[in-house]
Order: sequence, then structure tokens, then C-alpha cells
Amino acid sequence: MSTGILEVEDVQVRFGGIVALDGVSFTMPEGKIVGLIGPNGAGKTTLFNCLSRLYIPNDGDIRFKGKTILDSPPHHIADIGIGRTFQNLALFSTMTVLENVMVGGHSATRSDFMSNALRLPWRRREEQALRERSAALIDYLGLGDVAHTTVGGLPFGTQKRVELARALASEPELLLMDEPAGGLNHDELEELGNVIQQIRDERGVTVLLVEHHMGLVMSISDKVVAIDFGKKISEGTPEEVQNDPEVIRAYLGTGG
Amino acid sequence: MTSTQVNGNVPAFLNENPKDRIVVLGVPLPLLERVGLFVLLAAVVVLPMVYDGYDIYEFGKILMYMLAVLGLNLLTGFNGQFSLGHSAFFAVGAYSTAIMMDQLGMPYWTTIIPAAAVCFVAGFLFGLPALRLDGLFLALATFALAIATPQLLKYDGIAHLTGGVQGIVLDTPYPPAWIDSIVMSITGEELSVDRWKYMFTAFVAVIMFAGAWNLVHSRTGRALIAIRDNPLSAKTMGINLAMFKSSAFGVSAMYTGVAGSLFAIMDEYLAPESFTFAEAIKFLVGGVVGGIASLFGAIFGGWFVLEIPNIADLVASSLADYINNPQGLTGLIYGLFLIFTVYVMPMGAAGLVQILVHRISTKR
Repeated sequence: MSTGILEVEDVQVRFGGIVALDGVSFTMPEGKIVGLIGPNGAGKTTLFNCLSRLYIPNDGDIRFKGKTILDSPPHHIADIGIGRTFQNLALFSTMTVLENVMVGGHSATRSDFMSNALRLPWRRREEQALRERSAALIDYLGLGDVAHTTVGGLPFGTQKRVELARALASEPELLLMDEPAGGLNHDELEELGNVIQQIRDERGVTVLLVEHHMGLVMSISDKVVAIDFGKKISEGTPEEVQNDPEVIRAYLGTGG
Repeated sequence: MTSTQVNGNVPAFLNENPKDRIVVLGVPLPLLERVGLFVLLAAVVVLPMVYDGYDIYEFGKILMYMLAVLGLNLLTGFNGQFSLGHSAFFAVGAYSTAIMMDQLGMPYWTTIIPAAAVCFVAGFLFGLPALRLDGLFLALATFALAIATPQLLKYDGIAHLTGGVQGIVLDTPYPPAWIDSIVMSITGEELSVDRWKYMFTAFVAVIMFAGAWNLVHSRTGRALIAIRDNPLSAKTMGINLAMFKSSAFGVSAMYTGVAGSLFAIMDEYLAPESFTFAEAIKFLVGGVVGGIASLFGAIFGGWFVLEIPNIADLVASSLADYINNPQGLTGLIYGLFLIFTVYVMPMGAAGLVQILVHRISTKR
């Protein structure tokens, strides 16, 4: 049996008496885009935070390339190849676009306090390589014009692309995107869809898309998982999930 | 493969410096910066040729305070951790040097590196429990450290090392014979101890300043700023918060501690009363008036905390014809200076320079 790059197995999260996730299981095939959908409060963000290890599930397991991620501290998640973007922008607001993307490459570089204070030759080479790699990513996402601009003052849509560039700088094999479409206009949305597909096709990155925007999820996902009240209610191709009576019920109510 | 893929070609914007386009009075900004740096370095070298005695001693003190302010700025300005207790690390550095000289008979110049190491370890260890404290609570914990330090230094159990209330009198730091002979052969004069103290301090200060500059403009510096700007996001980028925050505490304590070492060497004497809470506040004031998260601002900060109290004193004395006992007004006048300074330059000296450059510059 071929297992996916990411396996979520029977994950359960409780906050006090509230069960936020109740035994959710699914696998993500490598090199595909998987959409995770569900109404407000379904547990999407909770699951997302488990995947980036900001929460620890009370029960169940999450395996990345066959190995559990639950015994890694949060700052190791980028090291092992999982990158993420945030729903509400979480950029380093006083830094330039280039610097933000370079921080994204933190886990792919090694220089430390001592070598940096002394400006050793190997760390100068590492720094230059990181600069060039970051610049290539900035170029890739069409941010060249603002490369040296402080991110704090950039338009929302641009900042979202900076986040994407920053996440890619860690060279992830799996990219977790938390509501990337939020706050984007129609044109930006279409562009976003293309970029995500490009990231999959050209860079071989597997993408988990947690998204409210049905149009985007259904048009670019290879597979969709729907959850509601902390439980998985449907899983399959976009068409299958779209036509699943359970999903329709969850979104539209039982119909009186 | 699209044309934007990495092909070993570097996109043009990478090597563009946005500052190249800023022209100040006909001079491109990067050139102006380079000239400014050169003038500054030249001043550091030329000062001891011009000044001697108390004047050059004061310049040494400015550089010493600059290091202390720089240390606090690395922690607070760049990493966003507050400290009201840096007088403690200042004391650790000063007493390390003093005890090594006094008890172990080590020459003054050999004590700097071990004292720096002691301060780094002290700062790092203090930084570990500080990880659990944020903002105001960290300020309180460090405040406690500042309050406890003079008391601890007076403690009977360690008085045989620290000299208790009496403090420690140290040997005069004479210049090494070979430096003396070089200076003698060039100038025909003997190198005075005051000039040598300044040269030694400047040597240490310039090296440490360069180290801080490198650190801030590197992966490490970016990680420190990232933690300040957005800790959660920094963690997600793979930054080990605990390691970086406690190391930042260590490095910060090391800078302020080396300033303490230089203080002990320059004054040839130290006592617990030099390491009170007021000293910690001085470093904070220096950091704020110089400019938070600005390295060059620390030079102004060092000058400010050393000289403004003296100037306030002078102003107070000049009022003697009009007021009885005007010395009592020194604190008030210092306060007015401080209020005026933060009013005129709310972003510190570094911020003011930026605003001025912005005002008089034109963009190409």
C-alpha cells in the first residue's frame, strides 16, 4: 500500500471539555494539492496547528515521511521539511521583503553567533548563497520591485506573497497554507491559484490548503478532505466531495 | 521551466542598494556613510594625539559607556527583551577583572577575555529563567537583580574577594614596554597612562563594535529581530527561541560586562556603590536617546549619559548668582535635558539623523 507524504491518524484534540478534533484521519499523496474544508469552527485551524506542532494532539499520530512529528519541538518542523503560511499575516514587519525571505531560509543555513560575529569566510559564502536563493524566490513570485522595501507598509495581497516566498525559502517538501485566499480580490485569487499549482508542478511541493473559498479549493485541489464538528465527513476528488450529501448538509443545514 | 527559475543568474534587484538613489547635497548616501565611518575611526585614532589627562580619560569613558549601552541595545533593541538589571552584569565584568588582577596577579589586559566569558555565562544562565517572563515581568525580575547586586558585593562571606564595602584598589595599567618604546621613537615623549588607558579602551571597543555590527547583519541578527517582531512566526521558521533568547542575554551581558572590566581598569578602583540600579537606568537612557536598535546610536548614548550630568552640573553652578545652593537643581536640570532630548528626537539620535537625511536628500 502506498502511504502518503503525510499521514494523519485518528487525531484527537480536546480543550477542557470541548472536543475540537475527534479522530480525524487522512493521508496526503506526495506532489499533490489537498484541500481541507469545513464550516467555521469545524476544527480546520486546530488541525493545522497540530501539523505545525503548535498544538499537541491528545490522541492519535501525525507522520511525515513515515516518522512521527509529535516528538519534534516546533522549531524543528521547518528543518524536517514542513513550511507554513499564516491566516493573519505573520511577517517580520520591520524587515525588508528580502530579509523576511532570508529568515525563511533560517533552517536551511547553519552559521551561529561566533562565526557571524567574526564574519568567517564560510559564513560569508553561506550568506551570499542564501541572498541569491532568496532573490530567486522573490523574482519567482514577482516581488522584485519591492525586494528592498520594509514589509509593514506593503498592500495586503503583496504581503501574502511575501509570506509564500518566505515559506518556500526553507525548501519545504510539504507546504501548509492557512486560508491564503482571505482578503484577496478576484484577480489576485486567480493568480494565487496559478502560483500554488506552479509550486506543485515546478518544485514538486505537496500543498495542504485550508481554505474557505470553495471556488479556489475545488479548482486546484487534487483531493479534498471535509471536516465538520471535529470529524471527517468526506474525502475524495473535488467532484465527489462537492456532491457528497454530508458536505452539502454541513454547509447548507439539513433543510427544514 | 520558466525564465524566472534559478539558473545561476542573479536577479538584478539583488545588488541594487536602495540607498544608491538617495543623494544628500549632491553626494550619494552610501559614499557619505563611508566617509562618516572613516571620520569616526580617524577621530578615535587622533584623539589621544591631541588630548591628554582628564580630557582623554573622559573620551575613554564615553567608549566604555558606549559598549555598555550597546550591550543592552543588543538585548532590548534587537531582541525585544527588557532589562533593568544590566548594572549587575557591569559589576560581574568589573569584579571579574578586579579579582583576577588582585587575587591572581594577572596583568590587566589578560583579564578582558576571561571576564567576557564569565559575563556571557552569567547572562546566558539568567536568560534561561527569563524565557518564561515577558515584558513587564522580565523588567521586574531584572530590577531585582540590580537591587540585589550591591548588597551581594558587600556580603561578608565573599568580602575577602570583593573587598566588601571598601572595594578593591587596583594596579595602574601601564602601557607595555614595546608600545611605550614605539611611541617614544615616534614622538620623543613617554606615553602617558591616561592616553594609554584610552588607547586600550578604544582598541577593545572598536573590535567589539565591529563584532556587534557583523552579528546584527547576519543570520543571527535576523533571527533576533524576527523573534522581536513575531515570536510565533519565528518559531515556525525554525528559529530555536530558547537558544537565541538566552544567547542574546549572554552576548548582551558580555558587552556590558566588558565595559565593566574597562571601567575597573580605567578607574584603578571599584566599590559596590558604583553598581547600583542607577547605573542600569543610565544604560537604558543611553539606549533610548541614542536610538533603539541602532549601533551607532550607542556612541551618542555613551556620550549623553556621561556628559549631560556634568553639563547639568555646570548649568546649575552658573546660577549661583541668582539662587542659593543651586547644586540642588542638578537633577532637575538633567531631567529637563532628558525631556528636551526625547521631545526633539523621539527616535533617538539615530532616528534624528535619518529624518535629517530624508529632509535634505533628493531621490534620483
